[in-house]
Amino acid sequence: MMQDEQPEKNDALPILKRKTVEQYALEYQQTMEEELPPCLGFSARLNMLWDLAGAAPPQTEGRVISVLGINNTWREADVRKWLQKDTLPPPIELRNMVKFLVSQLPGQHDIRRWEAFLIYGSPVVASPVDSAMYRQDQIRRDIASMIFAQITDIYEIPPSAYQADAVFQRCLTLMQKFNIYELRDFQPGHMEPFKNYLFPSE
Amino acid sequence: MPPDDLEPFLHGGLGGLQLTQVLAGLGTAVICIDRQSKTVCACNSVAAELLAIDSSVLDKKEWWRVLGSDTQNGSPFSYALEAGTRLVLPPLPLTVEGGRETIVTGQITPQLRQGRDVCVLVLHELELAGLGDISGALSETDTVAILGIDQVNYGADWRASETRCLMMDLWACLLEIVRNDDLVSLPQGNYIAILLRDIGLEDAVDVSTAFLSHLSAVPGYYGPNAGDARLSVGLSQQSVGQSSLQTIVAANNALFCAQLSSMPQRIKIASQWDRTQLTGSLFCSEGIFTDKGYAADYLSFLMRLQSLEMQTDEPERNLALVLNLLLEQPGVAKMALYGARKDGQYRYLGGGESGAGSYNAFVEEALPRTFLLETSRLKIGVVDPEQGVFPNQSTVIQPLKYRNVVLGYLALEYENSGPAGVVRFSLDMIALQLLVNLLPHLSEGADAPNLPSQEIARAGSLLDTEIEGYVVDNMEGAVDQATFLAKLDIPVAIVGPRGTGKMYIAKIVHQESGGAEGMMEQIDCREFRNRDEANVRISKILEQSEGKTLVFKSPQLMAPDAQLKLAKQISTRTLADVKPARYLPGAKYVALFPDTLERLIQHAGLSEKLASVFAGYPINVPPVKDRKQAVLRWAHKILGQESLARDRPVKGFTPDAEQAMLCHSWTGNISEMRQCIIGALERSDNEWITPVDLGIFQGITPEGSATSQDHEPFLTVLDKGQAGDEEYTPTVLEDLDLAFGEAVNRVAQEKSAAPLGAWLEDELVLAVTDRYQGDLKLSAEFLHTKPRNISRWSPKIKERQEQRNSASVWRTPRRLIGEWVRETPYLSEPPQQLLQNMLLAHVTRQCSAEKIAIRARIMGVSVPTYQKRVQQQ
Repeated sequence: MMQDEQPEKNDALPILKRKTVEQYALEYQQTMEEELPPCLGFSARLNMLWDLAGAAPPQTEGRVISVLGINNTWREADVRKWLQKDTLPPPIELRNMVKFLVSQLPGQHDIRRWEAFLIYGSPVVASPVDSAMYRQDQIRRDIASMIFAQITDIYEIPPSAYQADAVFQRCLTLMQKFNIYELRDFQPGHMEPFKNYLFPSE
Repeated sequence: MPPDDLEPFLHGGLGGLQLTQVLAGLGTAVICIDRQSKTVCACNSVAAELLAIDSSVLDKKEWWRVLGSDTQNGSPFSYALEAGTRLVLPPLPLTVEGGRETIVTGQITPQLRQGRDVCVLVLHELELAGLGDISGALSETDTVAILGIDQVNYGADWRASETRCLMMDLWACLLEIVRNDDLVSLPQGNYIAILLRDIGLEDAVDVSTAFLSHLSAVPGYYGPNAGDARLSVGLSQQSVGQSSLQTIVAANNALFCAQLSSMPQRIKIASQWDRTQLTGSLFCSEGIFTDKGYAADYLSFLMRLQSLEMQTDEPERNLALVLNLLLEQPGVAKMALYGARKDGQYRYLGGGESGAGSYNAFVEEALPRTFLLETSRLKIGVVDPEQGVFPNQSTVIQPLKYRNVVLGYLALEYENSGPAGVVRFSLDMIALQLLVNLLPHLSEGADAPNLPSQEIARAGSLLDTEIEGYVVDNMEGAVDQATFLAKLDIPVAIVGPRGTGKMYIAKIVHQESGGAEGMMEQIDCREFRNRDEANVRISKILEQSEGKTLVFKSPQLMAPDAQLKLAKQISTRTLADVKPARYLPGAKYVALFPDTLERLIQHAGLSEKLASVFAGYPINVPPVKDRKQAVLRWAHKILGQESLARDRPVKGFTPDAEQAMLCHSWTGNISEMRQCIIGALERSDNEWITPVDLGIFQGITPEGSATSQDHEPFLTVLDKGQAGDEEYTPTVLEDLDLAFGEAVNRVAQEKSAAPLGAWLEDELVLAVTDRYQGDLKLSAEFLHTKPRNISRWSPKIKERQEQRNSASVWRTPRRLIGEWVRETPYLSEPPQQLLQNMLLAHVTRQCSAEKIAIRARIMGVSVPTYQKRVQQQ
């Protein structure tokens, strides 16, 4: 018996049982939506970005009118829909708006990530502010310093073998993943994974 | 055959005395049974008295008619008689003519005498006084536990006195863990009887596991002879037609079986330790029953000594109680108590002489010369303090030893002219150990000795009082997020299952946004009975919201129109129905949701518009089970709060309690934990909170070795972000339905008389009045009744409170009813009807084989009412 004539296994790759164009077309018709569902919380997130950027007054002090002052090609009714009714601006308008607002924020930011976050929100898109919130806390920065010091001491890693700033940031990242909020959250068993993550072998 | 005419059947005389006379003198009953005719052919006078029979009509009576039915079916006695085998009998219950019950032990020996094949039965009646009140207090809903220790090696370093010391230590530790209502006997040999009130066998197994785990470390303190000692428990619950004594014997037998069945070695080579182990096992042959009882006066003294209530930080008062009790005893003229100091010297604690009505206290210098002389020799080490000192006929100085360490001593002087023939009062090992247990309460601070039981308890973690404000628990980032969002003008959704601490996060939002105290307003959206009421109330609240944080609880329960109107006002920040249009006052908007917004839109009536207003950056509060590292911190914080509120000092949780809490699922989250700890404080007066008090037993083993928790693999943790979140979480009502089902099942199994239906209504009324903080009008509205009815029901509810709260079967339904009432909106039908129907469905389904009267009793109603409800269902 030839090999390709063996009975198909259940976990065989989909390519082995390709559907016809008609089947795909039918499936498409069945799954398609007539209109996009609203992006829950889009307006709230857009307002949040305007708040963070500080480029317009609060919502209760005439934000819509002020926003129109920044770009007079926008129409008031449209801006109201964007800021109050979860309506998405045209893609180019959204890109420009996000680009402008993000440029007002301190530090480096990924415009596309902000754009995706505004549309889909968390947890579909990880919040661009989560990590910042965690890293701001001085207690956690102190813990990160202690972990850093302990690991370099125990594993005898010389300063010439690492870039301190990058290792420190990696330490904060892993701490956030492990939900380490205070000293006693860090257990002896954490040492090994932290060492491996902070100082990956070349 | 007349009584005591047994000699022809026995072995003859004993040094000129007739053997039967000797046995009668020893209080031993002798009965001869003809194996062929199965009739009694002779007995002595003790047997006639024991069996309450007229011996003149005894002859030819079948043996089971004489010895009672307890010995007939399935008892080792009947088998030995049938087989004609010599057998040492275990303790047997005996119900004799007239209905008197007793416990006997003895031996049956086959004999051939005068051509007749007979069995000589030698019986000895055992003492029951050691069981204390347990036998009399036992009811059908209780369980008897007999705790025993075996595999103790007897030898030069270990005798019965060491076993007694160990048993007293176990007894003291046991008292730390039993519930307030449970009864514990004094140790009888290697055994202690415990009456566990109002719990079935299933729960009793959990409770016993907690006992064994708590006590498991104690024998280890006593060195190699007791190092391998094994603690076991036999359990029994009274069945229909079974007497209290028969139940205790059943528990005793269960314990024997436990001790027999778990031999670690199946094949064993002879060793030098065999004899010591065998000797130890011989001391365990009769279980909780003993053949040497106390005189009634002495037993009463022991009971009083045991129940002396020692107060913390009041050593003088405590000492006065002890002196008073000892100096009251017949023949005791003077006494003194000494305690060991940390430096090894002995310090005079106090003493006195008996007087009319009370005693006269002495300073040390006023003690009798004999006391002073002998105690000074003890102090300077001339005399070994481990040995008792007996300077003359009327003075005795006894060491108060604990695990071979002398912690003090007791000096007694007797009256010279004691009544003739009366046994002089002296303290046995039990009394001396009871006194040793009191020693830590008789001296102050640093001089107070530590006993192992306390050391064991201290192995737990003391109550952490350093937790500032709320618990240091970031709730996996929820607190960070709340702090971040508080600074922005964004409506905040706080999402989490019941009891996770959503309101705590709302408070953080309020505080971090700079909100003033008292400016956080909670709007319970379950209270709005219709759209108009919701719109009017919310409009008013929004208008007056300047500087406030408005917290909307469960807004998905409002009418759809009311949700839309609120959504519009918040999204545009404009007040509705106001002309000219006006912005909302400056306020923070927070909404608490029990589930994700998407799921609430799909299944729970949340309007898309309102969801969107709050969906900007929802804060997810994870359940406690997902943040185990915070469990103990919350537990300590809650224990601290609740003990302070009750002015009830506690030291903390035992290690077992912490282990059980770590392993518990906490489906009801922080609220469940609070209920659990409140229940523990209500059920027990112990200084240390144990698993028995908490009513949770996960992760505890009889060996005391706590099972380790399963840690998630490192990669799983890293990967957690991608894990699906579609886990099914039942609603409180579904949980409650399940809890009712389990409760009905247990009540049916245990044939208990628990009126679950009545308790349900009691609990509902209490939970509703609690929800409305005692406001009868609002409570009555929720219950669809009149306020005066609640007042009318109150006395009965109070009357049933103790029974209800102490019943373990009701613990979970009680908690869940409270939770359900807290989160349920106003219902169009009376809530009691909804819950009663749920309970009734279980009763009709599970108790269909029971009589209708029993089903009605479970529902807490009369038979006609029950029938009516079934028809209406």
